[in-house]
Amino acid sequence: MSANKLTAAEFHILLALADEDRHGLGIVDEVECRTDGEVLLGPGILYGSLKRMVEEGLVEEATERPDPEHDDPRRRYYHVTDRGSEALRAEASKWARVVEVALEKDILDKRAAT
Amino acid sequence: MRSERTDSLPWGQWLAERAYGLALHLYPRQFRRQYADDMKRVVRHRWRRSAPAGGFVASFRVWWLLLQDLGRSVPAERRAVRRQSRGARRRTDPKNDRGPLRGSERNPHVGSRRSSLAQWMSSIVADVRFALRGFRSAPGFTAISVLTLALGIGANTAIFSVVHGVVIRPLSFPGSSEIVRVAPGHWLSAQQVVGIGEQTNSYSATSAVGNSRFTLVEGDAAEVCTGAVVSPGHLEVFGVPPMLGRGFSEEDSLPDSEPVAMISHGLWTRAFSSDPEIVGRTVRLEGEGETVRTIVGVLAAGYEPFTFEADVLAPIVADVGTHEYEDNYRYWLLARLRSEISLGEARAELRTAIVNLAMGPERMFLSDTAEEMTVVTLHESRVGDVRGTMWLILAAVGVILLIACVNVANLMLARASARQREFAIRAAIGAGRRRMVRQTLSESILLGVIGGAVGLLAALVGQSGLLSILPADIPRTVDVGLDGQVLVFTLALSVLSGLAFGLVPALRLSTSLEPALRQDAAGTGTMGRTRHRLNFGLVVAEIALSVVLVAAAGLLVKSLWVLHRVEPGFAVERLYTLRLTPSLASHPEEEDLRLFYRQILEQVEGVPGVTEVGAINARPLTEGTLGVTISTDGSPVPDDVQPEMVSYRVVTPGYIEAMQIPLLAGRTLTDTDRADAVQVGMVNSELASWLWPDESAIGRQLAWSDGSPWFTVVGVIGNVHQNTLSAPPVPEVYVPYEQDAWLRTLYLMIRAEPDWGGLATVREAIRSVDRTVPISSASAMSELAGSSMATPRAYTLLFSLLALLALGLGAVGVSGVLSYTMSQRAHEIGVRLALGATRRDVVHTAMRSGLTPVAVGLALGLIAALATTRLVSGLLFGVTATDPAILAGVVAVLGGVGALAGLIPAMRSAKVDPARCLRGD
Repeated sequence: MSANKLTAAEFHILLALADEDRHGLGIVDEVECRTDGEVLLGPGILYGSLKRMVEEGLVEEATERPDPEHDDPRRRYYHVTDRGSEALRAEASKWARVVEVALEKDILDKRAAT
Repeated sequence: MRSERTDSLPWGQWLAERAYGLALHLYPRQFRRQYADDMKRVVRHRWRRSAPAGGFVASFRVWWLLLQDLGRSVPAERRAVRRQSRGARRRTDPKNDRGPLRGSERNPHVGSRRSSLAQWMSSIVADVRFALRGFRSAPGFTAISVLTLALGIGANTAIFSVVHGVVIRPLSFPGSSEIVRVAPGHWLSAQQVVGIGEQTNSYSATSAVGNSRFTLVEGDAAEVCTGAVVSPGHLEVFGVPPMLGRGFSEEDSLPDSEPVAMISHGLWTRAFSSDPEIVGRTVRLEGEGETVRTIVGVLAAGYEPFTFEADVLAPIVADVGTHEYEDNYRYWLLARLRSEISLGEARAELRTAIVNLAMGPERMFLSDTAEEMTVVTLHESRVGDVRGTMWLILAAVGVILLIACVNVANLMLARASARQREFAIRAAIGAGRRRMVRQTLSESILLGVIGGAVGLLAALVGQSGLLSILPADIPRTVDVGLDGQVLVFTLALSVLSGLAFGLVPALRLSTSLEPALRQDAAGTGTMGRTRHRLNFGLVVAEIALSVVLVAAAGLLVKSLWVLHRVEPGFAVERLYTLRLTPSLASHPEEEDLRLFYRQILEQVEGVPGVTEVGAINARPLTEGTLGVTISTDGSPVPDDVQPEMVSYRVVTPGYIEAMQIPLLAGRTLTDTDRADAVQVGMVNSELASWLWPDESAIGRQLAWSDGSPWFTVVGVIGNVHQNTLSAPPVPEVYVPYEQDAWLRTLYLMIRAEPDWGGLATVREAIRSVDRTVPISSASAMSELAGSSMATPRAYTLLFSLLALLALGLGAVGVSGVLSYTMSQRAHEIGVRLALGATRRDVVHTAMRSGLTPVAVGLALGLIAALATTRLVSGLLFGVTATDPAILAGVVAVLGGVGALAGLIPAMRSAKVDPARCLRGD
């Protein structure tokens, strides 16, 4: 799998990690919240994807931990690598083009799209 | 289940987590090691998110998500591992390098594993098809097995749905496991409530509750509403905002504030036609010293914070320094635990607080037992009492299912023997043993699932019947329903039963099959030793299991019979009763109220057909007991003589006569015992014999310990069962109502002539005095006596039904095993008959071989019954759990049933025609 071909789950995970490092549960919550519950990541898909993305060098386990008061040492935090950001940007711009086309063809309500 | 808080881990979640833990083994080991813990955490999180809704849809969605996730990610991870190891092998072993362009590697969807999975799937489908064909060809076997299993699984599903709804399911409040009842071991005064609040830090909100009653007056109509006074934190404890308006604020509890109330959704729809403008309206709502209140809020629909219906909530108004604040012990305490505090911590803190408060002005009483000074979850305090009984009933239906499984196992065995040749041939032409065992197990599991489906339908149909059988005092029966978790339970039970009864015949396949091929025809020889032992064991098991259930039912029946013979202490026949709650507004003064009661009694006495009438503050067989402590002859009764609770009755002259309670000494109360006369009272014989065992009680002086005036005992009357028939009579004091200040509620007790028309004429008589006075709980006393027996009757009925079911299934099973044994021995019997044995001899031998396991089963069952019937002792009254007469009767009944079940096949076997038998037809 090359870096510029992301599965839907990987795309969502990268999006979730784009603004801050998160652990598995955090990713699940962020994705669910951002998609209004449309996308529910199951544990197998989530960790399967994370494992592959670590292997591909798209994300890495974060070395910095959050403030210890809120931290649980069992948790693993994930951080997007430069390569991951690049892949995310590529994928997002691909979707942006798709959205543009949809807007041009009046398929989408403009407010809904923005 | 490490800490007490996880006790309330919902059953469905528990199951989902366990099942998921198992399913994780489908992933490659390396992946599992790295991520299993994280994945389990996600599952728990997911469940917590969806489960508060608790419903079928929510839990189904979680299950569905997990299944989909497993279905997609397991193959992907396994493929990844294979790809990796193949890659590694290619790199290290040049022989394996057969070029880079093998199809299966380029396209993972046609991988070899994939096709083996498909093979496996299709072989399962083949197994199922084969099993179905087998069922079609043996419709009798199939029908009996399915029906037997449906009975067993259906009964279990129905009972489990009750246990689940009542005991397991969390209460329907947000974060309900944090809601606790703070139980210091006694009722609290407002001052003590404040004291506990200051001394504790475990709670994010607390609410004192004082049970109360209000009268809602609208025009001519008046309705008595149950309700409570609560402290301002009430709604925060339950986390449910009001549907309209607001909750109580601190200001509402101030003594000179405007009186306010919240009403339930039910009362809002019923009495106010769901008026959306209700908030801010002032209504006549009498009670707690007020006559009008402004409604500030309407509670959400389905908001049921207490076990009683609370239609009206009012704020507690208790000014520091008043009697109401210091001496009115009427409150109990609810609270919401802070999320980081455990129950154990809260308990420890409460004990310290009580010790501190015992020495302060709060005068907290230290309870004798630590169990009473504790903090329990609201869920526990609601269902703790019935939990044991519920599990017991579930265990009892579990026994039924066991018997059903034994029956079906026997049928399967019989079928397996008949098919021994088929299996032998299949083995001979190359079928693996594993394959054949799997085939047998698929059959039995399929049978279990079909039986479970039919049982589920039966449970669905029978559920309302079951709920109507259940005792009325079981809480939360509205929460009972067939939801996702019950469905999962049924499915698991079906598959497990299938495994249980399928295992025996399947394991039989692992013994050598060759002899079956060598025999000329299957089933003509004598039975194999193993088979014989199995049959023996099955009969023993069925009889033993039935003995346990029938013994439990027998004990309950006897207990009910004993209870029926308990004399309530008064004559129940032709006795009628109703409750009056005159409004404070129309009778504000004490003297006024007395006059009103006098008028009512006179009017009712004049009703044609009424022979006697009296009134009391608390009606026997239904009303709780108001306990007081007493002093006698000038000094408080010493603690070791002080009865734990002396019940306080306020009665009118004529009450004793109307109830026909026997007068044992002295006189009853009369019209001359007025407020201005000498203070008098009566005691029941329980109290008299307690305080003055060898002397006369007449002329003795008694007083309440709180310093009220002394009164003279003028009469001793018989004991009355005040609460229930099964509870022993308590010590009682009866004082005349004219000499008592507080009687806002009165129960009329009316003795009538035979063939009396009923209470309608009495209502008219009361209406002629006051058109608006609320009249409630009108009924014949015989009905109340009947309903006081309802709970024991319900348990007896339930256990008797289960015992009958066990007995029926057991009899069918034993008969089936013996018939089969006899048919297998037809050849042998034929030989005996040919050699000159009489038919009597044959029946005799058959009976002997049939009754031996029955006898062993009876003995084992008796031992098991002796060990287990004490579990029902909590439901028994006047019978010990090892009542010899009952146990002997059970042995006799089951011995008889066993003998009868054996006799039929024995008789039939004696009718064998020896000639035909020997010819081998």
